[in-house]
Amino acid sequence: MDSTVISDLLVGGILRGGMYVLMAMGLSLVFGVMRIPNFAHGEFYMLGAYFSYFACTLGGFPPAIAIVLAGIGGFVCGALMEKVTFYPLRKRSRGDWIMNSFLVTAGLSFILQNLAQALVGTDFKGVPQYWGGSINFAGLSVSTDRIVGFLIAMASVAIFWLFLKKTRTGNAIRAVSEHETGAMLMGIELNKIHTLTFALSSMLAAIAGAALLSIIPAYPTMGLQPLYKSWFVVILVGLGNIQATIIGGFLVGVIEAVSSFSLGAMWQDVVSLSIIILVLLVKPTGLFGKKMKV
Amino acid sequence: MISEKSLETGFVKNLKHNLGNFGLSPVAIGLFVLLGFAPYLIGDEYILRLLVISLLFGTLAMGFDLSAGYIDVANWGYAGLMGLGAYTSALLLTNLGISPWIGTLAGAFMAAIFGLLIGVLTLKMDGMFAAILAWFIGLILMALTTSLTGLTRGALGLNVDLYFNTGWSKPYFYVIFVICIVTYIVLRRVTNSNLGLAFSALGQDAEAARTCGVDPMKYKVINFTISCFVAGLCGGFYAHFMGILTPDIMSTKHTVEVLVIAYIGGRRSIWGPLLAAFLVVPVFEYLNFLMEFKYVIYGLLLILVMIFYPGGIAHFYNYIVGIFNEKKRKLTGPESNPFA
Amino acid sequence: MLLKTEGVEKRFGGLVAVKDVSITVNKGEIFGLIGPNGAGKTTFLNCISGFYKPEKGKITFKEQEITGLSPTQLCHKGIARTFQIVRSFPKLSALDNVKVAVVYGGKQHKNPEKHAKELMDFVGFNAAKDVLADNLNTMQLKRLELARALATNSELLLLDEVAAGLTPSELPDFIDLIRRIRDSGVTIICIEHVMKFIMGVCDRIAVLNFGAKIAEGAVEEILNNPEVMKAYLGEENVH
Ligand SMILES: Nc1ncnc2c1ncn2[C@@H]1O[C@H](COP(=O)(O)OP(=O)(O)O)[C@@H](O)[C@H]1O
Ligand SMILES: [Mg+2]
Repeated sequence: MDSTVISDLLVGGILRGGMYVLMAMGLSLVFGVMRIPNFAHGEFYMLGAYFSYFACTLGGFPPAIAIVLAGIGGFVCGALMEKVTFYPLRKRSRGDWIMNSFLVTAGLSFILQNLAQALVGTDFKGVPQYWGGSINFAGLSVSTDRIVGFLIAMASVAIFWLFLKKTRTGNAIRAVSEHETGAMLMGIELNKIHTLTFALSSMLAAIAGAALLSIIPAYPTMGLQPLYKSWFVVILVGLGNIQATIIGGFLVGVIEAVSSFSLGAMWQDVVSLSIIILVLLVKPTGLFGKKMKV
Repeated sequence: MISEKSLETGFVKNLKHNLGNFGLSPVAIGLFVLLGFAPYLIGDEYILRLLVISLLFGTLAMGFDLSAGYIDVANWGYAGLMGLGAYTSALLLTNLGISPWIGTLAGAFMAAIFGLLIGVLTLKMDGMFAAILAWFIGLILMALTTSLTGLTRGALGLNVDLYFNTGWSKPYFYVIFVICIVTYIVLRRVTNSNLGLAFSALGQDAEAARTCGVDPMKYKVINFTISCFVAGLCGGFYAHFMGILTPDIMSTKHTVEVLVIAYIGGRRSIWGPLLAAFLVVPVFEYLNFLMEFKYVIYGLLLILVMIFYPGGIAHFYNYIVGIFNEKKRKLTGPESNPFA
Repeated sequence: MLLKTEGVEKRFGGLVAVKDVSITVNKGEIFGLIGPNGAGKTTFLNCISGFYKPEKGKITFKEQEITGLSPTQLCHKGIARTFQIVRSFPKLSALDNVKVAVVYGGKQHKNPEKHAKELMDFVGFNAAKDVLADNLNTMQLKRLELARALATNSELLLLDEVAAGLTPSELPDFIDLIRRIRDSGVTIICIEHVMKFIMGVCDRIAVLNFGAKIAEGAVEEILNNPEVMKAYLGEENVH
């Protein structure tokens, strides 16, 4: 391997990884705060892509606005779904929360996917380009859309991170993920936090889908790949550990870039999975995971 | 005369007890017998085919319930393992000319061996981790089947010879009927035995189970392996019943279909999922004209069951029986002991 | 001597939950473990029963080192336990809850069901035996858990606050039960807060404070120990 190939792989891996970070962060957050293993996370990515597509084509908005609108759309859909499904589920739940909520998300995923198929059809809905052109970067020519998409992802991650760390609401979310009863005793309204958390997580996924629209067009089942990729990340680093998903996302991105270059695209999942299984065998809680309280 | 009568009731009681060991209540036997005559009672090929598919899904759902209901591991790679069984049997037949009957069994064992490996790798972890890792493995099986076009012809699909020289459903009905009954009896028997006790204990409180001396890995892996065997067995039948295989058989949506049936039927009962298949499969077949909206309904149903009645049909039945027994207890309680 | 721990230490990240604890428990004893909340009592018990692996130290049971064995292995060696917050198999009947332990506890029984029923009677389980554990109240669950622990043919029984939440009127009955369990040949280590219970049943007690053992000895001796008073009541109240 000469050095351009290496830098090529590295850049490709990091660009990919940025999206995984964005996706995985929301997934990890929802599990950390609400104990929901979200199977419908990819569907919000799909929604984001469609939102952006319609904002661009029907609405005629410029790309940046379209992506913001998609994010807002994801937020609203997420909030709605939380209120309609998880809220009553939590009210009525008598044990088995993780499994039951998992199945509810599976149901959501089924519904969203097939609604999209019924309403918009199965064909690809994409835009040829957002900004177009390419940028020379470390001796490589990378398309502007990729770079900007990556920057959007990083900006969203950074803003989200600051929100969690610096704002009152962000602190409340983290408090709930640390200790639910404790947070409740401190006067935090759990219901609001849950809705907000799910909405934010959906928003991040929607932004990811929207930012990539010119590279990956929208179609009903497009959420599957990002879904299991982000699960790769989250399981690799440890569930509920939001900070570590940043490292994990890039790690998985690079691993995939390397394995698909050296073994072919069909092997990249096999390689990622084998690595995850090896990691879990040595460290069942993931690379950076804490042991959950007994 | 009195002794004769008590002899008879003794015999009946004994028989009932023995059958009970196989999980066969009189009602269950009655339904099975009735079902056995179905091909003679129903002339309509379309309905018969629907029954075959219901039996197939019912058997799959029973196998799924063994893991999901008892050790609390919903196997998200279930469709992948079913596909593995199907492809194993089909490839043995097309490449080596091995009889589909042996192939079906070989497919089941293949799925079981895979299940054993997956179990050893993943069941150390929480049920949900195991579920998700099993899902990854299912996805990889599907990716491999799609990519290894030299062997499987990928998405083009593999033509598979049928069990019989006919496309009529009647003989296939009896094949899946036997598979279903055997699966039902074995699973009921296993779950009513001490093995089932260990499964339940592990699924309901793994820590308490460990303090009771139950070895968690051993029994979870046994459970998972049996469940995967059933998936592989059904896969083999599917291959030689349908006559064509595509990697789509391994897709997650089929796992979800089985899962919806299993959960509507009710976890931890075995019979509930089987019964539910006969309700859900025909209804959704009937709803085919709705196209994608059919799956929307599937999703809605799953969510509604989870929110409002996560126990499913089996739980509802137990609830009714509970009320009935309570009444009986109240009625007969003082009577049976007049001096109390 | 039945159980001996030597310099057991267990950490959670930076927190040393159990620090250099050595105790010796003799066969046939009821050994009390007391100390303020958060002193590390439950953690110490978890080390003995195999739920945690201590970072340092050695645990010996019947002259055999058992440090780091799994709960399942320890159960088969004869160590049983109850949990501070009662645990059961909610969707199994009360009888099946106990039967699990009879069947898998390490000793073969000809008629596990009968044995389980006898144990349930022994601990005074008064609800119907075919009721789902889900429908039992805490008191019934406590007795059920005791039956389950005994069902594994234990020689050493670790009890974590079994008397907590009992009303004064229920207490004598329970004290009597613990004594009967001991008389049937089971050695007991119990974590307890209820003074009447400690004075009623314990032969010897050890006191933990901030993870460390600060005293060990006969009951009256310990309860009059100024350092123990200090740990419980805070410095200023002693004088
Ligand atoms: N799994 C755990 N992870 C982190 N800290 C723990 C864990 N279990 C217990 N602790 C901490 O260890 C200390 C001792 O707890 P514990 O043994 O439960 O005390 P006790 O039973 O004496 O009340 C406490 O400060 C508690 O917060
Ligand atoms: Mg404690």
